Amino acid sequence: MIVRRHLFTAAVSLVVILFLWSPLVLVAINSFNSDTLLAHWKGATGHWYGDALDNESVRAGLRQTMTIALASTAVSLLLAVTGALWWRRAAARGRRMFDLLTYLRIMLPEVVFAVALFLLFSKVDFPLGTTAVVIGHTVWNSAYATLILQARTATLDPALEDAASDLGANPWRVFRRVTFPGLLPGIVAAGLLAFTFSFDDVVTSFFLTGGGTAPLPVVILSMIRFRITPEINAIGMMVMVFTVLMFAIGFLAVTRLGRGARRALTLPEGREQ
Amino acid sequence: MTNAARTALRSLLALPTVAWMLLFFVVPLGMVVVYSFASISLVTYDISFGWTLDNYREIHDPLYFDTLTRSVFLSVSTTIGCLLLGFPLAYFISRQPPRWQKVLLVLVIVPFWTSFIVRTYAIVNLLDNGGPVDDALQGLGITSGALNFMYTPKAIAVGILYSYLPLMVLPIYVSLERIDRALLDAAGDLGANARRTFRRVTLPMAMPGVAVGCVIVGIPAMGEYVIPEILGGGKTLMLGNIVTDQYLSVGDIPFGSAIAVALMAGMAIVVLAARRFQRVEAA
Amino acid sequence: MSTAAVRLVGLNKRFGDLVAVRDLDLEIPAGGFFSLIGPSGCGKTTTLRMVAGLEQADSGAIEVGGVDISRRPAYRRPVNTVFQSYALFPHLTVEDNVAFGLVEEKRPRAEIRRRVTEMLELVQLAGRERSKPAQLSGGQQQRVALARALVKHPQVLLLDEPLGALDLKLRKELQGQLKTVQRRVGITFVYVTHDQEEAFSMSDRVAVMNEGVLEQVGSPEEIYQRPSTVFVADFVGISNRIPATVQAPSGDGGAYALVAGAGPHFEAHGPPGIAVGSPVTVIVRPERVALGAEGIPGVITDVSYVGPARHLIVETEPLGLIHATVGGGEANVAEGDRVAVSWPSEAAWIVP
Repeated sequence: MIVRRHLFTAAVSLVVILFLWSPLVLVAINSFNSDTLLAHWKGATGHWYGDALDNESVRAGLRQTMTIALASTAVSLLLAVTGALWWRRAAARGRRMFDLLTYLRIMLPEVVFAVALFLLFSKVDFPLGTTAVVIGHTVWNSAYATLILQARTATLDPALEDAASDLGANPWRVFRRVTFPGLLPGIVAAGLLAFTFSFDDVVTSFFLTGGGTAPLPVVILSMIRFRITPEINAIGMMVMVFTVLMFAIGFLAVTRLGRGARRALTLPEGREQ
Repeated sequence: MTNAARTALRSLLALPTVAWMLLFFVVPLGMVVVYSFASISLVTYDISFGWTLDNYREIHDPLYFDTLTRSVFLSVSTTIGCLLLGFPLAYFISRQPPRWQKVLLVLVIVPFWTSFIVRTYAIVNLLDNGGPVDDALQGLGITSGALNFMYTPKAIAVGILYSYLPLMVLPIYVSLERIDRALLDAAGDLGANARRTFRRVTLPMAMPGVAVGCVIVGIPAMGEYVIPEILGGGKTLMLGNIVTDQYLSVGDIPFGSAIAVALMAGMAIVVLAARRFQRVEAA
Repeated sequence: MSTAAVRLVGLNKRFGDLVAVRDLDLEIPAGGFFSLIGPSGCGKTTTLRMVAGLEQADSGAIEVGGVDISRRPAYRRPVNTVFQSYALFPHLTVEDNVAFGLVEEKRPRAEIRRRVTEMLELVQLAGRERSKPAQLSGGQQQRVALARALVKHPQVLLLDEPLGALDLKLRKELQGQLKTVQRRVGITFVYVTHDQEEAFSMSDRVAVMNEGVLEQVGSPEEIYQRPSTVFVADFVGISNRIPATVQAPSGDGGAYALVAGAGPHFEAHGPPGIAVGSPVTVIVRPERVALGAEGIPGVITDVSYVGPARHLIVETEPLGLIHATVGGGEANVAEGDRVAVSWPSEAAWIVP
């Protein structure tokens, strides 16, 4: 690691990284702290974890969150890939309008989305619940996914698809053998991002869950609101480990996809592809 | 296949996104705007669709107007904070060899990969009376008596800064990373020392990333709900809280909609300004 | 009818307001090395892409081997392209790149492997099967692109300025290799370039394009010695342009008598049927201009030493500036010398 040349930025970086990690480390420590008041360290215990896992609303919340996140990611990726591929060859006017639509979804605070959909669903008598939440997540999730995929399609060399056509591949084969592998790093990145955003989400889920099973973040929110118990640290710790695990699995899965994907995933080192 | 046919087929690709957004984005927002001009009887909850500006006038009520200014102020200050902390970090990472870049990026992203709400709660842990920061500051003699930092706008600021920092780092990193080493060599070749190279080559080329970072931090920050809810202790300290309160507790949908529209208008201004800035930089 | 490899009939293509290709009629004979040259923007690349099927012509027909393929999409045409940027698939190995087209043809794996190996040997890249494009040099990548296109045995191979990105030495080397490969496989090569020298050194026949229009088609020698327009004359080399009027029609020897302005009478050759009294331009190549005692008198105003030759500019009274090239070894030329320039009448060519 090159440090000496960049002493100032290295120092700031160190401070920032410590800042980013210390609250999390604190949560980790406290999740094992047998002091109920968390005022001092009173010895290690695992019983908060037991309490958390026994909590039915936590377990149900986790299942619900997974379902919603997977569904929302899938739909968001579909919208993102089709949108980005269209955008690549679209005329300037179409592009501008599409971009406006994308940026609007990113810039608007989630609260506005949430109340708007809440209003729509209540006026057309569409039931709140899992589907409503997935719909809500996808509206803004697909915007981030689209941006990432647009960035990725911009790096695709159109000559590659020309070459594939020239060599005898029909449009579908061109997509499968050239375009899609080229998009794959973008799809993985966008998918991981979309999954996290959805998994994590509070506001949209809060508004659109209605009376049904609350996703985990909403469960946690209620727990924080009503009583702060050390159990939350245990839940928080488990959630953190889980999401990090998800990330690791996603990364490994992509590297197993084959030489092509792995090569395409390495950060640009000189020769742009 | 003719060119025209090919183009028509290709526009089908835009259909999924356009259809979804029309139905679940444009229409609902339109409804909110329409409702913001309606009036409601808080006794019967009957809504009458007049075109009244009463809801907007109510925003001027000091109670709500304070919240408006507080939201704007918090958003701006946390964006600047993220920039001051995030830019050096992004720069540092971009100057590392690729393997270290990955390691550092992981260190930045992993906290972001943890649950948003848990992170916010972790700040509570950290900054609460009796927590480690309080203990440390009292122990070092910097403060006397309880910190009482929690449940104040300052705590919200720290919470926002903490949660959104990676969102500032990543786009700036991407911009910096893309800067061709050859460009920096060329600058050095033309006589620029490190600082001037930074000012005249690196900084301008990082601007797109900075602009993106500021927008994706500043704007959601303004409409934050969760962080003020948790770190503000349930008082309606920011606009997002008011909207939620009006919609879900009070039931005054027209007024809640007016605030939502006000939020939207504010966002539009900020984004337009940022886009103009981005375009200038790109030129 | 002996089938030309490629026949273009009345091809037209415009991009918005810009006419890229205008009424192009061209026949490319089978089995040789054919080059399409011209300045940037002359339409040569557009023409090539239309043959490949990567661009749709607005009107006109394209025949390959006597078959009209104008309506066919690119992936169903018996032609393959070597791209200027090579367009190697970065996520595939060299082997998989070369095999790409054969996989699309659904060939059996053993056959694919055999043909790929053969082709890589032909382009001298045997042993690099498992490399990725990013690990290869520019010259090597170009050869992979060539192998990938050739392995499908297309009826015609299209090459779009494939050597543009390489340095001079490498370019010369690869030019030689391309010519050898073409001779070996016998497939018609259609080569697009803006470099006249490159085209001349490799090709059997050359077509010159300018602003979407075909100016001339012929062997390199024909194009150079007997250009049909002033543009062609200037594009392929330095030329002395002498405005003149035809005095007498061509006799048996094919020579016309002309007078240049109000000055000297001389003879030149030209295409048949030029009317008496027509104003024409006579082209004389500098290397055919001789310095001596007899001829048009003038003064040397500039001498440039370019290694193998010396390039002179001679100011003459009746004809203005005349460019001449003499061998580098001759020592007796210097600025200010009074000389007489002359050239044999076969060296003078009339461009109507």
